[in-house]
Amino acid sequence: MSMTRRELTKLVTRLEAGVPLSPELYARTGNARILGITGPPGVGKSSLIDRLIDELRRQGKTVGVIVIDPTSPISGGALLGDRLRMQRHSDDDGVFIRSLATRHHHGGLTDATPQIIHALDAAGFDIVIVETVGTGQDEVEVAEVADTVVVVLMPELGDEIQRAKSGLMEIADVLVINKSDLMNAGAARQETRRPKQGQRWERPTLRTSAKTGDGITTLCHVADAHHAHLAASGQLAGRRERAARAEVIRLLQSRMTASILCALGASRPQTILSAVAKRKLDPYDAAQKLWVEILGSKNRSHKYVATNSR
Amino acid sequence: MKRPIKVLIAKAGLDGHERGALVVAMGLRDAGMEVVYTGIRNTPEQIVQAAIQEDVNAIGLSSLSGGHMAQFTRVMELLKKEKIKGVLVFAGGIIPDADVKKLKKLGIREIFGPGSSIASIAEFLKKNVRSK
Amino acid sequence: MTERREEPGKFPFARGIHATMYRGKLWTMRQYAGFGTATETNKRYKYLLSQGQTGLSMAFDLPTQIGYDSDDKMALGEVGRVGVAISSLADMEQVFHGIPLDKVSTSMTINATASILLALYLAVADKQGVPWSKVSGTVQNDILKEYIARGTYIFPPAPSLRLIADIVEFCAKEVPGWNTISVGGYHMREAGCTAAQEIAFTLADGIAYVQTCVERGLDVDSFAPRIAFFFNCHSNFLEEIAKFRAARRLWAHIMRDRFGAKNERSMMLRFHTQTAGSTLTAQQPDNNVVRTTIEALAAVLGGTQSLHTNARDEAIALPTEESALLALRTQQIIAYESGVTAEPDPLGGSYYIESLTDQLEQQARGYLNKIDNVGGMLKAIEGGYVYKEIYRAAYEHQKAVEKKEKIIVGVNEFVSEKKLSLKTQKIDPKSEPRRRRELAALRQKRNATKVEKCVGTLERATRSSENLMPIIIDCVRNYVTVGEICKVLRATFGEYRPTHSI
Ligand SMILES: Nc1nc2c(ncn2[C@@H]2O[C@H](COP(=O)(O)OP(=O)(O)O)[C@@H](O)[C@H]2O)c(=O)[nH]1
Ligand SMILES: [Mg+2]
Repeated sequence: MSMTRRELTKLVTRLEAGVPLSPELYARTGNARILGITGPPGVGKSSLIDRLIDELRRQGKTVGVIVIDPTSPISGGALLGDRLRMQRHSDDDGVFIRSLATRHHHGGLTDATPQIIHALDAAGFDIVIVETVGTGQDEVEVAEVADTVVVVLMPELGDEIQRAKSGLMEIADVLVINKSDLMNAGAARQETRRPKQGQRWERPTLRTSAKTGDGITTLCHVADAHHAHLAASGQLAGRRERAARAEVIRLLQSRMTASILCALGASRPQTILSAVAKRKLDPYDAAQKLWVEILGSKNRSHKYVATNSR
Repeated sequence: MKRPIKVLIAKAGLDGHERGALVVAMGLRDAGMEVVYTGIRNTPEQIVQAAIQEDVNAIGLSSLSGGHMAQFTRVMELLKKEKIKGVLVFAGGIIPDADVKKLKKLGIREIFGPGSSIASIAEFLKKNVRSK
Repeated sequence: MTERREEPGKFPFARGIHATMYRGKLWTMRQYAGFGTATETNKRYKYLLSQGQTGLSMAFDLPTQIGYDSDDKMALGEVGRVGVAISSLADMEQVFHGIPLDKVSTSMTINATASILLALYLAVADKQGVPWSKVSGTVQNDILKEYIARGTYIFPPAPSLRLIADIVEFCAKEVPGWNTISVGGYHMREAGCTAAQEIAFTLADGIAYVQTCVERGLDVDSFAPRIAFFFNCHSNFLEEIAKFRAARRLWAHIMRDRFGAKNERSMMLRFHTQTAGSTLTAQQPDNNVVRTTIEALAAVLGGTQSLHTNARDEAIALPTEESALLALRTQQIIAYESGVTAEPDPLGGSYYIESLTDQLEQQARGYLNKIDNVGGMLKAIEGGYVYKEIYRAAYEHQKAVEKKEKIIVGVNEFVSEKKLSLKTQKIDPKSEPRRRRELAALRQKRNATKVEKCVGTLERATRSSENLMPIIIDCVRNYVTVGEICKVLRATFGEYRPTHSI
């Protein structure tokens, strides 16, 4: 590994604080495979990752893991419980696990997740696994960072599945029904159909049990196959472009937001805002007025985004 | 936005009584901290590696079986060996007075005995954690 | 409140399992004690026996409880801490050197490795020439509460239950005087659950054990009378009395109606009680004597069969000799001076006690139904339900104390400076290295061919459905260690990984 653990962990902390990754490090990324694992809480995502680490380590691969849990909107605190399931890998040199709280970010990731993935990538991990909570339409951002998205569900989720179908299914490259040990024997039988290697990826459905270890090897194979498919069909480049685009757009958005918030602090915008509150001006007109002013002052607004610039 | 205080709560050794550690973990979350809970039967190596990977501000160790001197000492040794500085280590559980002195000498900042309030632990952390 | 006419000594035993109760026989005063080396334990036992005590209580260190020998890396700092370290028959022989096993009864607080410790005990009996029919005692052998609250599990639930049933089946045939399971609610209560939950979760564990043994084809009345219980006695005086009454009534119905027991002794809930360690405070420690007195009185009024009263510094420090004696005196005063032993279930018929009993029974039934609905206690534990209930209750309690909605005298109200000074447990720092040397020597000295042979037999047996007890006994006779036996079992059974979420 090209960085010590201590360097890596401090780097991740700086990224979390909004300090950008250095161009030199970014230039070293692009080698790791990024595996996204998402699904409703409690389906066994963390337990599956624990098993995947076993399997990947057997294959001699190094694994970086980012596990994301929601921040409590009330206290601002978070109980990061994913690591509990993987703690036995803590003292393995080939594994690095970092828990993150979403803080104010919605969408499943945290502000800095893309950058942190780059950091683990640059540090030389063969595979970076990202666990996010995904319950439906809104929490699909993991698809913007992963090469392969595994959506995990469990038997008899009923409503969950219905809800999940809408948003989650759209981003799933592989669908996993975990906790197969809870199904009756017939239903639990492992699907043997291997995904086809053509232009189109036919999303396979796998049954796994993180409890017994059943289906984990297959899951690894299928994830490999998906990656091979992406590479062979030229879609990997497309995905990576999509990821880069999403990341840059997000950075632009946060700059814009910062600029806007800053600009609104000045006295003239304040007058405009109070005019809206007093019903003397409607919100659309106000936005239009302010938009022109903010764009007009864009050269000056650089100082407002100091935290995000190098 | 300022980073909330990040704490690792771990039970060292073989002792399986989780009540104290869990209640503290829940309490610190509700006090606005990000709490990584690693459960029971952690080896000192696992605790220190987890603390490094999570880059926590503080480590809370809990032990009720009397094995604390050996285990906590090992944790402190490993932290030193890994050159980890600025991580505040505190402990809870049943720690005899004579050991409290020794542990403090090793660098454990505070020992919260039976009956300590979570409010007092949260306050202690807020006051003493070096903001990063 | 339902109109009922229940009598002591009659089904459903809400009013006690004996018609005469303490007029006939006082409860057993059993103070759990003893740590240190095998030699120290032996000395202590001989002293206690010379004082007229016949019941020995054996506590083990955590490595022994979790199946690691004293020289294992996992044992760091834990050897001989919370009990005696037993790695091989040599240690067990030492503990009972000069103590004839047909003259004592030994209660062992041991769970995951219960079959091995029982095997060691029986091997010592053999060496002494004492027939197993004359051996008596108890193993706790209650693994389910370990997953929930105490944490000394090794294997997943299914193979653990097999080991438990192996013991039950084996003892029913070979060691009739042995109490095979002591189903405990104590630790779950210490972990923070409520009185109703304590009843429900304990009985649910009991149901799981009985179910397992019945499924193995054992006749329920052949083993059920050998199952006992172990409850906590907490601070809420009247509620605790009602708790014991409700638990007895529920269990009697469960055994008769669910399992079709015919023998009344199968339906009687016999139990040991310990006063609540978690109610003791480091602040103003003398107050703890008062707390323990009230709790002990509740246990007696609730009809306990045996009782451990905590010393004022127990559970937060190492009891001094003086405080340990005071604890024993506390129950003696209740027994001989208070007069509460004059009448069985003296509070029976009190409007409040009866309605509280009904209420707790109802609440506990509610939990039991929930557990049945998720498919039984095993599923409820693995799904994290029980754990969540308990720790949520613990956190609520903590918050209530910090907000002073609950008053703890000397802690959040009526505070003064006096604090218990916690004394250091004297453990010889050289004992861990010495144990390592002794074990190395033992491994050299024993017959390697025999060891290999019986370990091989054990290995094969783990993968069959054969009763493992005779095979384990054969292993320990040949000085195969606790850690080595567990290594074989771990390889076949796997290790339990906690499944609860927080
Ligand atoms: N029976 C069964 N339980 C599982 C399985 N995988 C996970 N669990 C349990 O499901 C619960 C949630 O698991 P976790 O990995 O934390 O889920 P996550 O929230 O999706 O990360 C825990 O109690 C696990 O032990 C499985 O394959 N079978
Ligand atoms: Mg998770």
